[in-house]
Amino acid sequence: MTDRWRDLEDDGRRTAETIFSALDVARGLTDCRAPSRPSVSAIWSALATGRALPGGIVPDADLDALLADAASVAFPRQAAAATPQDGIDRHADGARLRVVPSLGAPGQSYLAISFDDPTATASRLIAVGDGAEPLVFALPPPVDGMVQILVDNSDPILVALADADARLYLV
Amino acid sequence: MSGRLRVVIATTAGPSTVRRITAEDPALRSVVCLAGTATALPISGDYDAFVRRPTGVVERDTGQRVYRVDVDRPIDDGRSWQLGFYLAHQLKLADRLAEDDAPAEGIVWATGTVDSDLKVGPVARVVDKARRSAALLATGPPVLAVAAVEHADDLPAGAAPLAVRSVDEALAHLGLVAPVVRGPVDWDPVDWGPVDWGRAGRGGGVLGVSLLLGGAAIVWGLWQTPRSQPATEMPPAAGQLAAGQPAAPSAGSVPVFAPARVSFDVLESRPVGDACGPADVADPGPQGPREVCAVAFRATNAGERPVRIWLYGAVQGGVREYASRRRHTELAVGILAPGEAAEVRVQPPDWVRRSIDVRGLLVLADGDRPQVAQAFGAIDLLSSAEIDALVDGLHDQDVEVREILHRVIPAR
Amino acid sequence: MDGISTERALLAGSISPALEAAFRTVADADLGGGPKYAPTVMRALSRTVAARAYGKPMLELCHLLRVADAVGGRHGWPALFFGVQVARGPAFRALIQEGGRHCDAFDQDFRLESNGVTIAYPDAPFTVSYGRMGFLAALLELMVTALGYRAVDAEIRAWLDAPFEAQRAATHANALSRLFYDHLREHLSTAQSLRVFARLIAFLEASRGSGFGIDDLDDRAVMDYWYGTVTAGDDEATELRGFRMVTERVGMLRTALQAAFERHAIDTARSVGPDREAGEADPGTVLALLEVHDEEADELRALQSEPAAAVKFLTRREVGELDLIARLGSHAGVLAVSVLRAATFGAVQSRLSQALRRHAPQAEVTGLIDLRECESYDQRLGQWRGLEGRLERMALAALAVLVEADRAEAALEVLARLPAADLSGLRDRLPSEADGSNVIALRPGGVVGMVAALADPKVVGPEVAGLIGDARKALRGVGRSGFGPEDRRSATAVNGMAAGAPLVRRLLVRLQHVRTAAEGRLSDDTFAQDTVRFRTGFRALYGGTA
Repeated sequence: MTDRWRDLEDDGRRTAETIFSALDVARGLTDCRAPSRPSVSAIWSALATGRALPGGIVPDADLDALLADAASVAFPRQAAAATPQDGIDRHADGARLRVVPSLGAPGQSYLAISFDDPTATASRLIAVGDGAEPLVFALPPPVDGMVQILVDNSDPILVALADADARLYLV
Repeated sequence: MSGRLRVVIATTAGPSTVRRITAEDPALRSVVCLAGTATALPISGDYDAFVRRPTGVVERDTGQRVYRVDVDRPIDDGRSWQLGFYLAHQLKLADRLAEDDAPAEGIVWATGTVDSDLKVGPVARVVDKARRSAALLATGPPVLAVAAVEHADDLPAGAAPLAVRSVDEALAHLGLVAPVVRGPVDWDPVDWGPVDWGRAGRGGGVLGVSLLLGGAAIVWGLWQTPRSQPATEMPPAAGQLAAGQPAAPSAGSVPVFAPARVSFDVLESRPVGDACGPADVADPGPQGPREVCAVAFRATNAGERPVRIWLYGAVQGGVREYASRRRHTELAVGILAPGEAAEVRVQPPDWVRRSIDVRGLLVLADGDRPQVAQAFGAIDLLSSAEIDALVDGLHDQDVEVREILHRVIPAR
Repeated sequence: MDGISTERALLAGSISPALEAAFRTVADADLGGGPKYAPTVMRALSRTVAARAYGKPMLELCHLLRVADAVGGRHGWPALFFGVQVARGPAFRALIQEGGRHCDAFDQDFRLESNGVTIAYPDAPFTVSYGRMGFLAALLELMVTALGYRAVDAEIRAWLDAPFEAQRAATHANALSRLFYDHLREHLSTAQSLRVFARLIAFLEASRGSGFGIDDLDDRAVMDYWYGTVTAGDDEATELRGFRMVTERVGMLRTALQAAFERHAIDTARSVGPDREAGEADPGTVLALLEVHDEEADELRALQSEPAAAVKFLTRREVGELDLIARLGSHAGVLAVSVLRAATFGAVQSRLSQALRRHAPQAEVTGLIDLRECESYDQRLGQWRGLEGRLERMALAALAVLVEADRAEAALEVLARLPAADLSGLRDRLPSEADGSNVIALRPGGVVGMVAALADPKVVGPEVAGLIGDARKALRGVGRSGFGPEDRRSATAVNGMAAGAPLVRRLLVRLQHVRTAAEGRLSDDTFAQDTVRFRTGFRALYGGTA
C-alpha cells in the first residue's frame, strides 16, 4: 500500500477522481436550496385523505395521469364547449355529470353526478384546465348513487365545467 | 276563501316563510334553499324523501317528482316542516300560494309531521314555536295555525286554531280538495264547511268530486266558489274569458248550439329581438318547426249564437311532467259570443333543445256541463295520459271535443 | 447555513436546476407528519445518485412494487409508496399488513416476515426488508418527480404485467435504471467536480511535488490554495473561492485519495458497464466507498432524523456551528485550524457575498472586507467551549431520561463514558429466572428497575452513581422539547433519547477534538497574520484598496 499520488496508476487516480466527484455531487444534491414543488406523494396523499391539495401545482400530462389513477372516475375532454345555461352533460366510465339550470332561481344551476354503481362514492370533484391550478370542489355524500349540489352560475366550478378542455376527476 | 295564502313553517327559531315552490327537472333531487340562494338546507335530503315516491307523498299527490322550495329562514332539522310544506304544495297546485312578495289574504302557520296516509303527527316544542311567532301574529294578515290534534291547546293566541288529525281536514278548511290518487271518492259534492279566519271572519268553500273514468281515478272537477255566492252563477258577459285562471262553472245556458261554426286554429310566434313576436296561424301537425317561442290555440265563433267553450293549451310529454305546469299551460273558459275569438297561449320551455308537442283542447257546449267544468277545473293535475282518457271519456258522452297536437322546437 | 448556500451558488452548474428542484421536492415532502424521508435517507439517496449506483436498489424496488401493487387495491402501486405518511419501516409494515388483509390472494404470493416481506416467486423467493423501504420509496419518488409519472408508471406496469417470476425482475430493473441513467446524463454533470479535482491535484503537484500524499492535505494546503487562487486573479478558477468550500473540498479529496489508495492496494478497481467509459469505477464500488468514508459524517443528520428528531437536542444555530465539523468527519481534526478559519473569516466571506448580492451600501461592504467585525479565534474557541458544555448537558440529560425510563441504553452510555465501570452489581437485580448466565442483557426494554439501580452507589460504585447524579442534575436544567416531565412520558421521546444520546456524545468528542487540535496549532500571532491574509484575499476578490 502506498500513500503517494505518484504511485497511483490510472485506475487508482480515476477512482479518486470518481469518488471525489461523487462526494461533491452528492453534497450538491443534499445541500441544494432549489425551491421545491408539491411532491407527488403530497398530491396523492391529499387525494387519498381528503386534505386540501398543495398549492403551486402546475397541470401537465403527468398530473392528469396521476389523477386518473387516483380517481374513481375520470371524465375526458369533451368535444365542444357548453355553458351551464345550455346544460352540461359529460359521460365517463362509471358516472355521468350534468349541470341543470335551476328553474326556481335562474342564476343557479344544479351539479348532478350520478354513479353507475349506486354504492360508488366520491368526496371531491377536481377540474384540471390548462395553465391553472386544479380546482377542487367538495361533494356531499351520494344518495342512492347520486350527488347533487346547487351552485351560482358564477361559481368557478361551473366555469371550469364549461371548459371543453378541462379534465374532470371524481376522487 | 279563494285568495292567495302564505305558508310559514313554525320552528323554534321563529317562523320560516315558504317563499316559492318551483318544479325542477325530474332527474334531480328536491331541495330546500335559503331565500333564493344556492344554500341548500340540511333538511333537503329529508324533503326529497318526503316528495319522492315511494316514500314521499308530494309526488304522489301532485304528480311532480322534484321541487325546489325556497324559505326565508333556515330550517335545520326534524320533520315538523312536513305539514306546512305539504299544504304549500297543495296551495301552489291550486295557484293559491302567495309567493315571493305577492300579497296574501292570510297566513297558514303550520307545524306537524305527515305520514304516508296523510295523517298529521305531533311534534316537539310547539309552545316555543308559538311564542317565537309572536311578531308574525301581531301584524299582517290573519293567521290560521294548523297542527296535530295533540297540540290543540298549544297553538298561538291570536291565530285561528286548527287542530287536525289528517291533512284532508286542513285542506278542506283551506278550500282545497284532497288528492285524488288515494282512491275514488263519492260523486256527491262535499261541503267542506266554512273556514274561520278568526279576526277577519272570512268564509270560503269548495266543491270537489271525482269519478272513475277509463279505469283511472281522475279528478273531474274541483273548483272553489265563494260560499257567499250562489251555487249557480250567471254566465259572464260575452267575451269576458278568464284566461290563465280557471273560471267557475256557470249554470247559465246558451240557446243555440252551432259547433260547426266554431273554428279551432293553432298559431306560432317566433322571436323578434328579445321579444316573442306576433302569432301567425300555422298548419297543425308533427313537422316540428324551429325557433318557436309561443304556441297559441284560438277558437273563433263564426256562428250566430253564443257558445260555451273550454279552451286549454298545454305542453305535453316528459316536459309537462317536470316543467311547472302553470308556466306551460293556459285555460280559458266562458261564453264566446258570435264573431268573437278566444285564445290560450303557451310558451314552450326554452331550455329544451328537441321537439316537443303542444296540445290544444277545445270543448264546445250548448249549455252548462258540470262534469266538463269540473274536469277542466282540475286539468292541470292530470298527466298527458290522463288527459287522453279524459278526451276519450268526453267523446263517449258525445261532448263536442276538438284536439290539436302540434310539434315545435322551442326557441332559445 | 449561509455559507453553504453561498458556496453552492458559486459551484452551480454541475446539477441542473430541474434535478435540484426534483431532489429538493422529495427531500421537502411532508404529508403532515414531518419530513416524509429522513435526512439520512436523502443523504443515502444523494450518494446513490451521485455514484449512479442504483442498479441493485432498482432490483429491490421492482420486488417491492409487486408488494405495493398487491396491497394498493384499486389504486395499485402508488397507494403504498405515495400514501405512507412517514417513509419508515414500521409505517410500511402497518400499511402492508392492512393492505394484505384486503387482498384475498395476498397470502398466496407474499409472506409477512418479522423483518420484511417475502415475495414467493415460484422460481426464487425475494425478501425486501422493512428498513429498506424508506430508501426505495425515496428513490421511486425522485424518479417520478424527475422523469414524470407516466414514464415511470409505464415501466412499472410492464413489470407488473409480466409473469410472476423473480428472474424477470432484472430486465425491468434495468429498464428503470436505463430510464434514470438517461435522465441523469442530461441533468447531472460531473465536469465541474472533475475540474475542481484537477485544480486541486495540479496545485498539490506544483506546490508539494508529485509525491504528495494525504498528509499534505492539511490546514496549510487549504490556506495556500485559497489564498493563491483568490490573489492570482485567475478568472477561470471560479469554482473555489469560498474558504469554507475549499476546506470542504480538501476534506473530500482526502476521502477520495484514501479510498483510491485502499482500492489500489487490493487492486480491484475495474472497468464497468457497457455504456461507460473504460476505466470508470464500478458504481457499486464507488457507493460502497462513499458509504464507508462518508457515513460517519451523518451524526448531525441522524439527530435530525427519526427517532432522534423527536427530541430537540440542538438549536438551529448549534447545528450550523457543528455542520462543517460533521461534514469533515474524521478529517476535521487534521483540518481543525481551517474549520476555525471557516467559522470566523469564512463567516465574514459569506456575509460579504450576501451583501454584494443585495447591493448593500459600500460602507457595509468595505467594513466586511476590512474585517471590522470579524470574530477572533479566541472568541470562537470560547463559543466552542460553551457549545461543548451544552452538548455535554444534553448528553447527560438524555442519559438521565434513559435511566428514568429504565432503558438499557443507559448502561451502554455509562460504559461509553466510563469504560472501566463495573456494572456487575446490576446482575443481582435480574430476576432469578433470567439469571441464566453472567451476561447482562443490555438491550432496549431491559428488566424493570434494573437500570434505575445505576444511581445506587452500593450497586454500581460511586463513580457511576456520581455520573447518574450529574445526569439528573443536567436534566433539571434542560428545558428543550423532549426533556420536560410530560415529554419524557412518551415512548417517542424516550426512543429519541436512546438514539440521540450517543450521537450527541460523539459530536461532543469531535468538537473537543477540533478545538484542542486548533488550540495546539495556533500561535500568538496566527490571528493577526490570518487577518492580513484574509483582508488581502477579500480585497482581491471583492475590490477595495490593498
